[in-house]
Amino acid sequence: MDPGILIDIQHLHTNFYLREGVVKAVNGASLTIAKGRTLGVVGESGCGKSVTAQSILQIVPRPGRIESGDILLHIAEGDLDETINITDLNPGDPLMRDIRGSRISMIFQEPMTSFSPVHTVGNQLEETIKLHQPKSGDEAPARVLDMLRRVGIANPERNVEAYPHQLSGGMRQRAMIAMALMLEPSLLIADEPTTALDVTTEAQILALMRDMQSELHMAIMFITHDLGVIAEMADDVAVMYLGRVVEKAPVRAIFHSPKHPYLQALLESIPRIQKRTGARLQAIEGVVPNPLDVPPGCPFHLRCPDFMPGVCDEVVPPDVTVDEGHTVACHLYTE
Amino acid sequence: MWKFLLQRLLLFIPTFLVISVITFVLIQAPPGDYINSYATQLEASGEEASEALLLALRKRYGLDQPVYIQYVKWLWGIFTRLDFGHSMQWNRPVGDLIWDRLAWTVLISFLTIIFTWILAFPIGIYSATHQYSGFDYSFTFLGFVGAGIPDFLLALVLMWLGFAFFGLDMGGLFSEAFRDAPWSWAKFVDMLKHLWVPVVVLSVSSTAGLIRTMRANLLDELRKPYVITARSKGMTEWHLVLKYPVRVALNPFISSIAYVLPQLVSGTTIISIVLSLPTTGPIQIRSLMSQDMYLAGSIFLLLASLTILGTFISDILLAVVDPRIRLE
Ligand SMILES: Nc1ncnc2c1ncn2[C@@H]1O[C@H](COP(=O)(O)OP(=O)(O)OP(=O)(O)O)[C@@H](O)[C@H]1O
Ligand code: SF4
Ligand SMILES: [Mg+2]
Repeated sequence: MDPGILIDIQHLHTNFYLREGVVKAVNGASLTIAKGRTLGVVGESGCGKSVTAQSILQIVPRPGRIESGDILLHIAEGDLDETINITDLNPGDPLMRDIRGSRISMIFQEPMTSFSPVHTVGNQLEETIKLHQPKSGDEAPARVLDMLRRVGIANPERNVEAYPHQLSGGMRQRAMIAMALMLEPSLLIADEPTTALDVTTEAQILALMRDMQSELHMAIMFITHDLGVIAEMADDVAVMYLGRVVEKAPVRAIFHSPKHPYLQALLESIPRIQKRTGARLQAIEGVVPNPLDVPPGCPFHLRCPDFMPGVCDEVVPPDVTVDEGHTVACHLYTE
Repeated sequence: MWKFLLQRLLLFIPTFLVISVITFVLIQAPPGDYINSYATQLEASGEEASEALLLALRKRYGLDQPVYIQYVKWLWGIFTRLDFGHSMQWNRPVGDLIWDRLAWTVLISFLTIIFTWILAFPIGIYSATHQYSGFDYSFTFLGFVGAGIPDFLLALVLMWLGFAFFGLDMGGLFSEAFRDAPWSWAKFVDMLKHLWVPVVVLSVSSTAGLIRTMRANLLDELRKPYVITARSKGMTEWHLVLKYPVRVALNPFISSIAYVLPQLVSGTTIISIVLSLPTTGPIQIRSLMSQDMYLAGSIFLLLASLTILGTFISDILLAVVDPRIRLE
């Protein structure tokens, strides 16, 4: 494996087994996350961004299950240099629990409901340390205070005793980030961490995440459907559609030479002026097909302006490399 | 927190007064009074109820005075001397009649609540964390059966089983030999041998309900984002379930303390009649039928006060476990 790669996801399939049928939430997605860099994951609602993230941590809720594929985690620390295939582990495996919260941690959209309402912020932060370093003993509270200070929470001595409902939304998300970074993970997964915040607070949280990244050198998987935030935060971008990654590229290439008809449509749907601000993904003709009933061939063929009958609706387009680090899954680019 | 407690405590007094007025009015509401029903009784047994006798009785019990005077006298007696008036039917002070019975009622209800919780908690938690498993289905089924069987029927069946297979008389709270004996270890053991029957009978239907509640609450909580957060921190499943969602799902239980009590007390009445237990239920019914107003009124008043007390206790507990309430 390329030493610069932290996570390598290959052909991941994660399904939900419902009474009405099988929801193929992630349907053959492949992507890589480079060490110390930010991968933006973008796509319409329901395309499988969150489930991909949950799969990395093996916390896909029932009745969901990783069906097949590989999630390789590269651990290089001092003499240690090994690759773990996360999909080989059970969700309850001690090694998996060990990875969660210490090597890979996650923050969520709703900082209010993501904390337990009946435990103090300090209690919940300290727990993260104690879970992974049972011998940490007396130093845990001091480390919690230190981390709260680093994420910019005023008066940490008092706020550590606060319950989540006593903090503002921005403060809660800061506390969430503090909890996630407590053990200096090599990957922080942020699932729409600013969607529930107002614009000013959003800007502060994004700045904080960038600061913490340069301090701790962690990689970030940043999930959003806001292309403006992608432009601001991401080094690399993966565009998802219906459980697949349809295009991967460095952020410049995504905005300057988009290849996939879906990405092109996305970018065109945003008025030029808004390109750098908070524009949402929408206004592409047609609706996203039901993931209970994924169409054959290219997932986008029902809405694609470049649809080629006999090819696009029959053969799943393979990943084609169009430039260095730039791949696209579309028959327009196959030989 | 202290302010909150004080508020609740102060609220107790007006609530008590309002309940006492309502009680008194309700008891006076049916036409006639104890003397009327006494007269009817006398006539039915062929004796003569002379006007003079009835008048004398009315005077003696203060029934010739206006209702509000009767009420004030009654309440005054309660507050100053803890004197709940005189039972006309038993011709004894109400206090003598009810304290023991009230204690038994509270004991049985309390044990029933504890027993219900001991059963319902683990089963509810297991059912929710193993939703749609064989275990879950079995307990759902048993729960419906339990909720469907009438209490008194279960009591009768248990009594019959005890008698048929063990030659035991399960009625009452003590065996013949101990009924009037002073308290001793043997008497205590004998009591336990009898006490479990009403406790089990009363627990069956409420346990079924509580399992459903716990299961539903916990299923709700298990879907909350903070559970995912805890999982993503690397907690073991049982550790996180017990620390977070179970903790939050407890709140509805605690608020249920308040209304479980009156439910139990009225539930006990039928069981007490079937099992001939010395609780308040049976004498309450008789006092109502004979319009023995001070006895009936006092029982109502005390049970209602217990309910307010239950509300008070559950408020305090709720504030203790839920910072969102405590820190309002
Ligand atoms: N717990 C679940 N049970 C059943 N289906 C689920 C569950 N979670 C996700 N799905 C399904 O999986 C698919 C992908 O969902 P996912 O949450 O990953 O979308 P997303 O890209 O994160 O969307 P959003 O932008 O709205 O967060 C959706 O069709 C969704 O209905
Ligand atoms: S494969 Fe065909 S349908 Fe799919 S995006 Fe490319 S051109 Fe459109
Ligand atoms: Mg999502």
